[in-house]
Amino acid sequence: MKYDFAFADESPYGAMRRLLIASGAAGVVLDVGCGAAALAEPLRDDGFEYIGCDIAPEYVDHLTQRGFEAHVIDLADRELADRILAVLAGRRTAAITALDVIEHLTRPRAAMSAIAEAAHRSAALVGLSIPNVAHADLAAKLVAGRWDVLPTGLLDETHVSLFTEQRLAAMTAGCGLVECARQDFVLVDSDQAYPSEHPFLARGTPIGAALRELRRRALGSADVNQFVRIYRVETPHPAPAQPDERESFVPTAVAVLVDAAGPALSDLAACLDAQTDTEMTVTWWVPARLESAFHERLGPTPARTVRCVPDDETIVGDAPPDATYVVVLPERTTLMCHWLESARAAVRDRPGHVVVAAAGRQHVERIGDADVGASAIVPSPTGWAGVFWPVAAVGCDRVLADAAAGADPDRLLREAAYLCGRVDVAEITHVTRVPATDVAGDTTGTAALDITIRPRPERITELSDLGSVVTRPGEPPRSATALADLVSDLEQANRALAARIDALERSHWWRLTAWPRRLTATARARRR
Amino acid sequence: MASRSLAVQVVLYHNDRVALTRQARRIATSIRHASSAGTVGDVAIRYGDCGERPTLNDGACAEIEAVYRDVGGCASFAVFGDNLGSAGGSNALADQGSEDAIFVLNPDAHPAPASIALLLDRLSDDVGAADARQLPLEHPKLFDARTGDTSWVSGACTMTQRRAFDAVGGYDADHFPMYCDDVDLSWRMRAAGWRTIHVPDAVVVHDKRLDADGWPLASDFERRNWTVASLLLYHRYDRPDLVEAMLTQLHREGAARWEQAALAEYLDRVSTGQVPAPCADASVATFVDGFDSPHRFRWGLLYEQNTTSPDVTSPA
Repeated sequence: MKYDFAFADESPYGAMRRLLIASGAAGVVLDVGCGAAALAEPLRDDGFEYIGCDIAPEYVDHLTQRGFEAHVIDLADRELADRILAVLAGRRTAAITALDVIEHLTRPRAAMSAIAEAAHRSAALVGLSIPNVAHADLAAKLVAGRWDVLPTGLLDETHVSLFTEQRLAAMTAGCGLVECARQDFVLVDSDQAYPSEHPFLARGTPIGAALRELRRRALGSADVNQFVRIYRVETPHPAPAQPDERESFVPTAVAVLVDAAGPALSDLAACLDAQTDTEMTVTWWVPARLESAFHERLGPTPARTVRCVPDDETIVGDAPPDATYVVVLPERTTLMCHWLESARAAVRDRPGHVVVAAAGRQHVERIGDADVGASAIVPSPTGWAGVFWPVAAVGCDRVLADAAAGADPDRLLREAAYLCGRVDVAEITHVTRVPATDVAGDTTGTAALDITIRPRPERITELSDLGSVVTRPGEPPRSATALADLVSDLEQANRALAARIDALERSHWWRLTAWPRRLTATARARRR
Repeated sequence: MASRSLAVQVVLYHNDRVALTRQARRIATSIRHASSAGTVGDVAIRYGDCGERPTLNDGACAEIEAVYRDVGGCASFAVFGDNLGSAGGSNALADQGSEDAIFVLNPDAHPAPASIALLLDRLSDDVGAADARQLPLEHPKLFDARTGDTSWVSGACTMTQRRAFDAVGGYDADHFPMYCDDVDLSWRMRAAGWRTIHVPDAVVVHDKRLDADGWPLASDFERRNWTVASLLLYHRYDRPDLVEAMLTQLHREGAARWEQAALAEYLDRVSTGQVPAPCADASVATFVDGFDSPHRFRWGLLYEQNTTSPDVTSPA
């Protein structure tokens, strides 16, 4: 028989067995589309009553001969729920499982819905095991122009319904299934990891690694061969309307990194509340030590999403599943009301690009319980609050980790711009507020501005985990590379110059010499 | 402090309906906060429409009413049928009630949850009016860091004691229909013995925009009307030197169109006697380099001379 697989602990069957044991449920496990019923004996050993059902009489006969109850059931039967309930006949039921089955059906939703209904009426769990056609190997093969259908495996020739993480989530939710636990079967080298000499699939090639890395960032489950999950059933309900992603649909996830729970926090919350564009999901990442101060500061707001982070852990996390862009806001940031609106307009103009909004900076002084502006707003290099990252290309967890570590966004920004292109918002839409006490040491203002553009021995465009593209010394530089070098150097010089001017303007020397400058300005104006 | 009745006033002129509903939610949250703190009692929210055509249709009014009903507030909508200006509109709305305090809010200003409670808390017997700190673009306001005393309070978000408001006759809508009306009201209150204070803990997000250099975007309409209002303010507070300085600026060769228009309007007012008479106590007026505060607009010679950042901790 084609699917006569033996039971193995390290397999999707082993994973489902562990899930059922861990669930604490007891009674019958009704396995629909059981095939060779590799789980029958192990589950019986675990104390479950195993019943197999299949459309093929030979499987049913084989199972009966092994001493198990078995029935012929067609999963395409329009009365499927009633058929299952008839088999169960009111017995206490732990779970109804469908392992490597749903993908063989032309109407998978109807079958899943019937299984959910039967499980609901018998107070049972639902166990599903379904192959993942968005595995990184298949992604790389599609880029290579290949789609290799085989007798068995990820691209089994009899699979007629193909599932990704998104489709599975949408279909189960639409059938009233709520996930309880998962032990997805991870297989980095799937049965589709061939031909092994193809650079896109070969292990160790930069392009192969890059493709895998991009797939990992884009959406979870890149290395999952088989989704193995159990669900409880809520009252089955019609599927919620799915947004049509072919239309402009760019939800934004906003992650706010809380580092002090001070007055700046309520200022930022007020700015977020006043945004003209409200299509965003805001998550507040709060270190455990600041949790109570955070709630005290912002007060009760039921809709607020708060993730509490243990103090000694790096902040990592996924964006909400529908988020296309993610932006990280440091606590000491204020936003113009059109901060998000203008970024979204830029995305509409240049879809998929990383958006970089112009930034302002302002010194603040603490007066009572408020950070009060102590200087005019001046343009400054864009910080985290001005970069809207395309989640799929950059990866939410990397953005969060870098921002939480206080790293400069430039490195990630170079990479994102390399992958996605960059679109700029010229207006200042956010302001970084710097405590006046944090301003770097005063200067006398007499030192020469020693800004230099340093020559580099070699050009390295770091692509982080994607590997490196290196032009070695002596190689004729390509014009694009040379231009990128120049722009990078100029940006660096500009930042250094801005810092020096800022320090100069805040120096005692500058204040002491204010009156002659004012005099000169007046004289100049009079001459005009 | 015992709870006080409150009137929230918003004067409209062709504003965006969606934005007004969003603002209503922010105001309602702030009212709820103040109610649970025991700071506020009965609340009436009054909208006054100065537009030639109604800003809000019945559906939008119903939506906004429902937002306030959730927090025990009662909203009403008046259509003036004429552009009274923000000052005239605010006066007309104030005439509709007798609440202890009047909270005047621009339609593009969104108060933070605690703001109404904080402002009401600070409205002690001798305080005529208190204003909130504006974000993200703060007024470069001079105020006493200990007492909050300041020269004037901004009309974008002001909590006013009705007794003080009535005592000085409200805004002077004839001379200051929409600019400097708040400065004039504050100075007349101070001349009458009331204090005006800034409450930096209270926050309002005011939808102002910046250009690429970090300067507030101001339309020619704003600049022109602000210039005329400033000239009238100089008249009222007896500063002929500042009138002369500004006229010199407006008369110069190459003046912008809005400057020429401002000059024409001012001269017309002078010739028809529509300038305010000098105030009896002009000493309450404090000008910084010719402005009523270190000003945000980049404006000609006066600006060039005003290059220093305000020292926010200096007493007013």
